[in-house]
Amino acid sequence: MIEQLLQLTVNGLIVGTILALTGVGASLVFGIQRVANFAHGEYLTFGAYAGLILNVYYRADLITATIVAMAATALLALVIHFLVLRPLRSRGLVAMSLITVGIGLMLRDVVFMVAGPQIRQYAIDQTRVYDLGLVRIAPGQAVAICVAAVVVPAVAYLLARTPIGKSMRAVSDNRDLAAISGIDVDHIGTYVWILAGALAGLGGVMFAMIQGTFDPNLGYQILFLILTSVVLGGIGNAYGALVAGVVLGMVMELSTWNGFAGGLDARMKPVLAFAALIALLLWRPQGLFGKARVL
Amino acid sequence: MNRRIFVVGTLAAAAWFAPGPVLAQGNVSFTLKYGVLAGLTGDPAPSGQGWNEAARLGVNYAAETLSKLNLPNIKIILVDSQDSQGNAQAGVEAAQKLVNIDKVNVIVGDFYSSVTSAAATAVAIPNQVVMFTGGTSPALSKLNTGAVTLIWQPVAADDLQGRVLAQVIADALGKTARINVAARNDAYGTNLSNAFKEAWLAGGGTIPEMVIYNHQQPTLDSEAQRVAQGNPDGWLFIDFCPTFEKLALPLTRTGKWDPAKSFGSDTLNDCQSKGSRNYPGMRATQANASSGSSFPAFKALFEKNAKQGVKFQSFIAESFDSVFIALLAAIEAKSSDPVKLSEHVVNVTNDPGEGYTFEQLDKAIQALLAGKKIHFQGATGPINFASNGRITATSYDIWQHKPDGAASVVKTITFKP
Repeated sequence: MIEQLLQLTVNGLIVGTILALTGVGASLVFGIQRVANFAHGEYLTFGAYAGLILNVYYRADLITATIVAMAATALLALVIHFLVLRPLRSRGLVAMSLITVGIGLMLRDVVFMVAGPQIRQYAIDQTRVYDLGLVRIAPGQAVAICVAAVVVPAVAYLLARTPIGKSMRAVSDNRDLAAISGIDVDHIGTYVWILAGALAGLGGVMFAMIQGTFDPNLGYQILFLILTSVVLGGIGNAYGALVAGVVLGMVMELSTWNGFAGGLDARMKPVLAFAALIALLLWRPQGLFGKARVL
Repeated sequence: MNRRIFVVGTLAAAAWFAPGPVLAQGNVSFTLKYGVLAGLTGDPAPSGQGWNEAARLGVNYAAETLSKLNLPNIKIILVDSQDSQGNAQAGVEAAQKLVNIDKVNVIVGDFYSSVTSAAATAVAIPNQVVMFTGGTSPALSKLNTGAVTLIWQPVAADDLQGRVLAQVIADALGKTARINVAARNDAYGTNLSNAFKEAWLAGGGTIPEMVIYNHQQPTLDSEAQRVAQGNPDGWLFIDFCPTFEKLALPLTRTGKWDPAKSFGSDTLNDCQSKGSRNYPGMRATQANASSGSSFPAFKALFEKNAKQGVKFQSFIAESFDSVFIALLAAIEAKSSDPVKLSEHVVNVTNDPGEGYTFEQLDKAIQALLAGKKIHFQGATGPINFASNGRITATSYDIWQHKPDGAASVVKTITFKP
């Protein structure tokens, strides 16, 4: 039973850190651009396929493939920002969010048309297992853990210590006040799309690796978990999204542990996530770390 | 002498230039309109495109045969192929287009039980249109609550497959074996797993873990932990290849799973041919859709004439057969009216009567027009439709995944319900 608990903890940490990384981007986008980006899941899908092209068809190593996937997804996010979202930003929150739903559907269909519906996998041996005694992990999971161990602190450092990170948090917290204090909010808006796109690209590659196989539905399947971690952490709060993502991943996995009265039925994991979200919002409408605000 | 030569020559010339044999059509005159309902895009596309092609080839073949027989009053048309996307809502909209706009008499599809169920309930049954489905849920034929059977299943339903799986696993691991079951959380997975559970427990076996999982979840690690635990004697998996892969990889990581002690549903018979991976030693059952003597001819026809890039799969023979069953039933009914046609489906797919395959379609049509009884032998087998819409011919192939990654039929069994 302890073995199962440890394994579930590791699995939960892996899923949680990916949710956290992708949630940070989505949360900052909302805080700064006032857009609930429902196309965020498709950015992950795009990143996963960009990495696949490099890794499988151009035989690039995983690190190169991941970096290129991050750059490509950041570029995609920028292009969509400049071509669609920025010209329409005066249309209001609801209209903008619905536009991102349409963008998401278009992106998914394009991936379906170009890449086809068949399942894909990176050029790593998915059947290999590292036996660490009480815990067994696959190469894809090991890579995900290593990447998360580097990137999560790096993102936290970027937000906490660098001028651009501080500016992002400032704009997210209070756009008008940030503008009055001399921050170029338009430039920060551009930077946040680059950051969100790059993290989505990274998240896509990592999810593809830990799933082992993936198809064009990859991002769509996790979009609502990402948005849940954004809302749980407090909309617009980057640190909140980081913490909430990890907590969400852990809770969902650990809920199935036999030690909890036999464990929750695996079918109920997403239900648990959304039940937790509803309960939290009833108790604290602004999320775990968010401040009460009027949108 | 010259006169005799002239007469013989004239008669020979007349015979040479005369039109083909005009059969006694009597009052048989109708236009039979088909529509295909299948997932043509997204996840189901690899199977859906094959399903659609099989129906198209069947209609073309039948139309050519009617033309050769010089039966201009009997027309057969594939009006449209609609994309259900493998989901119920899109399936209903697609079926509405086929029925209300295209005015089809026969819908060939869908091969998803959930789509068929929704489209049948909302569209086909209220509008009295015949459906030949590839869905295997036993609930589908139970939709036939009216006086006439409109929903036909040319494939063995899952309640039968559940019992076959129980028999196959009992033969391999013993009647009292402990079997963990993992099934996808949809109509197919839950129905088949319940059918198996009922049969397995009745036979004296036990099921320590029954895991019904949401196949659309991003990861299935905790589900795999559950499926592997309890030191079972074997496993049963009910899923489709792409999502089974998502479960199988974390299962491999548990170090407790043995594919050689694992059995799969019909959809897992050969995942490699569907773009996924086979697990050496794993076995799966599949209703024998290729037992008909004309199956090789159908396969050859498909490989010669199907659109490039569309892969052949044995289950699409159901779609192909459905076209001919509907046509022959309509000819016997002397009408393309779906209700009248339906009343003759059992008649043209059962003994007594001369047996004909699609390769002898011309002779089958001639026999029907001459008022004779026939038994259409499909590429899938003898068919033998019962009046409730189900087939009663039940042979099953047992497939096994090989060490080289391929899969093949290792045994064919006959199951007597």
